[in-house]
Amino acid sequence: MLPLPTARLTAHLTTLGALLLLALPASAQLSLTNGQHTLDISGLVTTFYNQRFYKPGETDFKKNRFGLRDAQLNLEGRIGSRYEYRLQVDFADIASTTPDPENPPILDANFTYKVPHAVDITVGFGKVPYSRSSLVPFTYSPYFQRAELVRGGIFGRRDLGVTLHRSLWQQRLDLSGGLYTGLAEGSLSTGDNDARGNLEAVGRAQVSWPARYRFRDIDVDHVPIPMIAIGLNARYADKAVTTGDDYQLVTLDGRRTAAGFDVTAQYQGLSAQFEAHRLRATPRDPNRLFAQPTTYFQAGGFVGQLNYYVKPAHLIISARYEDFNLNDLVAGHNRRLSAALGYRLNGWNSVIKAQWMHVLQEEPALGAVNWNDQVRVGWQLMLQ
Amino acid sequence: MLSFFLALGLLLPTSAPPAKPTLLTATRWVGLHRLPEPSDAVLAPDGRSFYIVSDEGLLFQTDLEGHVLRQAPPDPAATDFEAITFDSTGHHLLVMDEGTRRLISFDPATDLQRGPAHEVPWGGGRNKGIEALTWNPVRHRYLCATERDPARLIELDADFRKTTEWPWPHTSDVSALTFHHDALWLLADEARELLRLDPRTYAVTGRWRLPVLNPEGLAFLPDGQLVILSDDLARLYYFPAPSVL
Repeated sequence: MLPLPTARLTAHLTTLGALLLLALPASAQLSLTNGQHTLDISGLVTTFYNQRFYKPGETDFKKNRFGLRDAQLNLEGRIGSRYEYRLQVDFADIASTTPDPENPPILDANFTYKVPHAVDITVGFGKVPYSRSSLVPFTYSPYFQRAELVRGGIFGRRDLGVTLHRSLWQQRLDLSGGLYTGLAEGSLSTGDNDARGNLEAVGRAQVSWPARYRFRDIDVDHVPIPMIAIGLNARYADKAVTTGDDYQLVTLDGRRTAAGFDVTAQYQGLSAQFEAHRLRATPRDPNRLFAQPTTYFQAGGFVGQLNYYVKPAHLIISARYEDFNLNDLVAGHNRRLSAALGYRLNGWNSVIKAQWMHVLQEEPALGAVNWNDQVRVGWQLMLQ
Repeated sequence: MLSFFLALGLLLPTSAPPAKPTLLTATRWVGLHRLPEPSDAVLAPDGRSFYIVSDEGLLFQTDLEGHVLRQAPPDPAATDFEAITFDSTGHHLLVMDEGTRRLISFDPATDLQRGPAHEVPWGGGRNKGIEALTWNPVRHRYLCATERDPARLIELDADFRKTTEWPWPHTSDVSALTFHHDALWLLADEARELLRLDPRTYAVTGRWRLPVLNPEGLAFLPDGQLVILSDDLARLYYFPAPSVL
């Protein structure tokens, strides 16, 4: 859990953000340059209405409400051809008492040094190179929420550390790896590492054909040739603290190894993604083993998504299915079905999104929720 | 008054609109294996080589088969070269650095040494600046285009001062411009379309579809063959001359 800044700081930051966002007319990203140093200022505002269809007997309906998902200010810069930097802040989450791991108050605070003909070195806070679904920006998806498996409750999506990146073969081969504090989004709020002081190692390799494949799920360009990308990623940590609001899996007191595989393809507006993860945890707390004669448990699952972009109507149609298990020592699986529509009024800059999510099956002891269906409808406006 | 008619020409649909743009079919392609993210090309005056710029702020000269003949000395201040053309005299190359909004001169008679740079201000995002550039000898102006959000046509005089600007409603984006056979030719990346424009009014007078992934640059050979540069595939596609030529 990220601690709230002081009320005064929050007020100042919120006022500053609001003023900056108001100063930027829609479709007017601001770029300043002196010939060597270029600074981009952009933003994102997303508001939605959420309606849950609760299980019988439920009396708390607090999630039926409007929500401000994003009030982001994004500063991106480039100094010559060597340095790039990015600072992305979400004022909606600074104001919230329950920050969302999918959308924390600071999304990016990092810079990159590009070593010619070698590697790009990124230092600071940002996304770690694990899980393709995690690496696809929210703004390029018709969904309001990522699949539960990849939205930050089971493994961390961001952390503080150093990342090395290299693209080869006309960017068809993409390699990334890094070392991080290992406390995921919590690395910022704690300041210190845990008592063991170990780092987390994360790596990812992706190969695509016949051309580079960007981190996008929807084929809005209706590419004229079939394209595919396959990725492999893995991470390892030995920590002394267990975190995670929902599942106690984001960090684990013990050793944790995770590996994942993903594939994505697109052609003429039709696109599909599949992603699977397997996590092996060796906890120091025997209660996590549920009195079973073993030293470890496994978690993981898969997500499949199918999309079509109706170009003349500017409409995205998508369906998603996921199956995940939070602990193989406990009976049951979680299965969820989602569908989404995205109407692009002005490219990705202005999109009306609608997402329906249905719980097909739950892991009663670990993954139970108090609702069966959820509908979220909203509008995203990128100020760029 | 002239601007009024120009604006009218831009906003009107094609003067002789085809029912559906004709799909062109490439006869062959060649790879650009040593060029990272090629983004635009211009044919050398002798018709035997291309000058090609890269998203990584690099300038190359290649033969017609895509083999690199030479490269301009890398400039640490360069960011993202997106457009290239010859200047109004035909003696110097002009390259648009989209990130820094600088039009940079290079001398092809030397080792592609960098010359003076001229600022062409544009307030959009870093990668939403000027994406296309050519000299229009009919109006004696440089014609530039921003890529999208919004796509606009911009004229510069011979001293690179902005003189006129229009909205571009015919395609969602613009990726390249060139002048050939008494017409302007405009390439749209996302729509994968080639448009022919009247060089006096910029009205659309022809339209073709291209089966090329991420087309970012175009040129014509002296015999009329159309050459389209694919950024993502780093290839040059050769097409027969469009039927109007």
